[in-house]
Amino acid sequence: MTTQYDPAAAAEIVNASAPGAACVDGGVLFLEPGQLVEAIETLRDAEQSDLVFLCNLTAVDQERYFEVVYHLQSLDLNHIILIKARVTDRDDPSLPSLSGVYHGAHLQEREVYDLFGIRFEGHPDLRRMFLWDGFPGYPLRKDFLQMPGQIRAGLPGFPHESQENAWPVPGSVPQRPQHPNDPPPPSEVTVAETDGEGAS
Amino acid sequence: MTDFTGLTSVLGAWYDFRDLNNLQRLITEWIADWGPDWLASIITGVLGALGVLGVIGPTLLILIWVERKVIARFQQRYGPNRVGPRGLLQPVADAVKLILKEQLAPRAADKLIFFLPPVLIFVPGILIWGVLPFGPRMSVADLNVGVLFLLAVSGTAVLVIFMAGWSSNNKYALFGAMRAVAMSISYEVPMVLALLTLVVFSGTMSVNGIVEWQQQEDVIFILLFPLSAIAFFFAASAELNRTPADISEAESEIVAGYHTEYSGMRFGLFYAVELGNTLVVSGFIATFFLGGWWLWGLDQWVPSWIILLIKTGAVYFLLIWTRGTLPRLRVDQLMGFCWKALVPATLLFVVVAFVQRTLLISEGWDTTIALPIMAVFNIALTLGAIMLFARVSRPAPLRRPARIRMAGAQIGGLRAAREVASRTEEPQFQVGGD
Amino acid sequence: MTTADDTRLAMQGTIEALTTGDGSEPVVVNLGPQHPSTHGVFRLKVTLDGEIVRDAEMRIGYLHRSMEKLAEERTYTQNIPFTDRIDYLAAMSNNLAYCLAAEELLGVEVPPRADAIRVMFAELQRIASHAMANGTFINDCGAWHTPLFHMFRDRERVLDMFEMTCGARLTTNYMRIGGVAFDLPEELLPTLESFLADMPERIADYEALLLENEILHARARGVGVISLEMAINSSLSGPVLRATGVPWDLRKANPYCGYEHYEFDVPVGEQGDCFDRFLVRMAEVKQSLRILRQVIDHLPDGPWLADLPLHARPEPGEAYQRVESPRGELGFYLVSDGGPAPYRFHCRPPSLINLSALKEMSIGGTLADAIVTLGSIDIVVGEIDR
Repeated sequence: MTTQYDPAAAAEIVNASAPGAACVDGGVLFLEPGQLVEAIETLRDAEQSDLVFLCNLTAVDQERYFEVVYHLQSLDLNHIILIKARVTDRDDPSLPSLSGVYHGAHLQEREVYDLFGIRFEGHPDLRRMFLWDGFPGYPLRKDFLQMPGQIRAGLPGFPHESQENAWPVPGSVPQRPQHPNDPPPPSEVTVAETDGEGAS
Repeated sequence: MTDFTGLTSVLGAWYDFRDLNNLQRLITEWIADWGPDWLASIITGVLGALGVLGVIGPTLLILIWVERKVIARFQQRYGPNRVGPRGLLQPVADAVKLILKEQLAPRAADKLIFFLPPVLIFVPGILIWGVLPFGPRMSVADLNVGVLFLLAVSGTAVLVIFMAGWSSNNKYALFGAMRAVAMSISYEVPMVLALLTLVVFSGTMSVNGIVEWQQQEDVIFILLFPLSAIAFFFAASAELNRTPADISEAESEIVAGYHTEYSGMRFGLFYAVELGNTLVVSGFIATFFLGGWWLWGLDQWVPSWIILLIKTGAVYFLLIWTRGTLPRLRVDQLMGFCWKALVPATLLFVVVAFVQRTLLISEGWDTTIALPIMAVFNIALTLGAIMLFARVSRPAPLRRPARIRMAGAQIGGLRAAREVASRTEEPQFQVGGD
Repeated sequence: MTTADDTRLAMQGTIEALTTGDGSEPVVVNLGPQHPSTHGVFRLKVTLDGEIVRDAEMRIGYLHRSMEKLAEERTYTQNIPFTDRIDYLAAMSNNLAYCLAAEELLGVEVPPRADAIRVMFAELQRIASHAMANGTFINDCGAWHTPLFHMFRDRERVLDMFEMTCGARLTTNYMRIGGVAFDLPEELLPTLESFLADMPERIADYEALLLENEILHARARGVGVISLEMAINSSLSGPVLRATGVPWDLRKANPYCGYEHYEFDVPVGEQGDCFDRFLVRMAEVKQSLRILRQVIDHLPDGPWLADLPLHARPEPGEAYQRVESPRGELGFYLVSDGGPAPYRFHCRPPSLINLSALKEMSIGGTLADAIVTLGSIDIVVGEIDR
């Protein structure tokens, strides 16, 4: 059975070679974007972690920032770990590319670039993959094709439900634990734009 | 000729054409009294072409059905069974569809050269029938250099194929044409050498002469020169673009090769000629190596052209069989097989034929005893040559068997892989290798 | 790995013999998007020097339906049909992977009978998918459809069983969050029994037809070779990874649906070439039959669907669940914000990620080798593009 690799142990390995590159928050290992490549290379090569296999690489648009999610797996030790890195700059999001560490990151990073618009610095061939060059916008962002009246992407509620409890009211939207990389709290204006208490 | 007037009353009714003999000779003799020679040539030419077209037109339609049906049976399918009784009219329906389809030409195609090939491809396809003997001297033209004529005519088809591939302005077509040219030129060599064996041994270049030699000596050439027969069969299937040597129209690689851009009936013409060539080549294989219209005296009872057709059908079935069974070889493998295996082997048998023929003549051996001994010797030599080739020419990756092991309790990455690979016990199964 | 290196060196010998080296201009050929060998709308742009591939680049996206975005607007149950259309040749495996992920989010216990039924259909799907993969692979090697049609017959029987169970053949939409949609119909088990009884003979037929075929060996051995280390580094999975010798199978490594109770083996290849991939698939079909036999023998009774409110909202959180689909590691990464629909729905497509090493595999071979390599990776374009 695949076990979860203890993020604290992973953070220890990373911090030993690059102090401050990793921190554990809510059972998830967060890596500093600036030292991402070194940190993951350390984890890949270290005897105890041996994370040689990049299972999955994707991103999540958390509205205020992007979270790039890595699932790394050790085949011989049979453990898996979830690693996240945050990209705070929504206008020009960028993150170091892992393509030098894992050859398998090539296509997955291209996919994230295509659908989220996160540039991976150092990727040898960062072009759009599914969509054509010059496609307007990045479809998997939550604000893609935002309609007037602040109708937002996503299903507000089950079809039969009344609209009262449709969307979680602002503030009840689960907030990630505070993290050093977290951007400052959004201004009032941003909240008004992104909260979506149904069509007004 | 043997007297078969008695038989004619029983069997040799309307379908026995033996009296026709050689069309050209018949007409030449008839015209000789009152007209010029060239008139005879024109009349025989026109009549022959009409006759050949009249025969192969309907035959092709049936053959399409036969081939599709047989292939379908290989593949556990029904094959065509909707149009007409047992799907027999399917080829007609296909032809009608192809004729009604729009004829497209790429805008950048070389128009004149693009339009010519579907028509020109018919020329060698029909000329080649001229020397096929359906009975004793029963061919359109019984040339005394029939073998040479056959090789010369079949060699021109590649020019047409190259025209088609070049003018289409399509990379697939160009690749197909280049492959076809390279392959045709290469495989012409073993084909010529295989036929040279027969020519040397029988001492005649007339196609009918070769059959008559087999009849006279009571032996078929496949027993005397099996390797030449195999080489000729393979070379012919390569020239015909049939699997395992259909690289010039390899569907999975270059779509349709040189006729990628031809649509509608233009494609249909290529297809028809290809099928017709398959039939005529089967006929020539049957003629050269299986005794043609002759079958140990049975030809006295059954019209010779029926015997030839049955033999042709058998060879044709073999061609369908290989097509339905084998994957395709790669270009370099096909070329390597030709130059490294077929050419030396057929060359060896040319020498063997020279020696044996010389022995037969100079020593004056009794053919009834000498020929069986030679046949046994040649069969042994063939088997030896094939085994030698199989041993020597195997590429390195094939020398080692492919093994599948069971991981058992080992699950993991690099370390587990090394442990599984280092196991000394027999792997679960292994295939191939020397 | 020395064997792989040897093979590569032998290949290079052939290549150098073929290359003219007269500085002639390379030709760029687009294989696809409409091409007999690209198994859908997939475009491989190859740069050729004569017949030798100097560069290979894939262009995809012709079948992109933006499923990951669409899924954010549908409830967890409504998303199950989408997963059918991701990998339409292994819909059951996709259903299963998605349902496992959703179950982890919702914290649902699956009844044992449902687990057994899931294993049964996942393995049937593997047989069907491998039949298709091997058939088309031989086709790419240039056979005139014969093995393909023979293997299609087995696939048809599997699809018939799907049809009698859930009414659909390809896009099954059979698994549900918490179990499966319907119990097994009465006539399924006898059909499955006869299928299991016939299959060994059919497999013996294929092995007799294909395994010792010299032309197939010549076409597939030493072609599209990838080394063990490169395969792991490129995140390859499934038969492509196992052909290099890595014994990595999620059914063993991370058992789901009670795979730990069944006895089966993980076949691994040795040289990581196209022929090994083909052999691994052939061997896996046999293992699937073994599992199926055990599933039938120990089929538990009881409910087949957990008692779950139709409108379940998972707690905020995330889940990554993967299964060993016929093509490799198929994972679903779901993020919930507490709403009725997933906040983020991501599929880890094995077809796409197995293509990571396509360029490395095909460069230096001939055009025909590139086609064979592509066929041996066994892609489904619906899964690549989603």
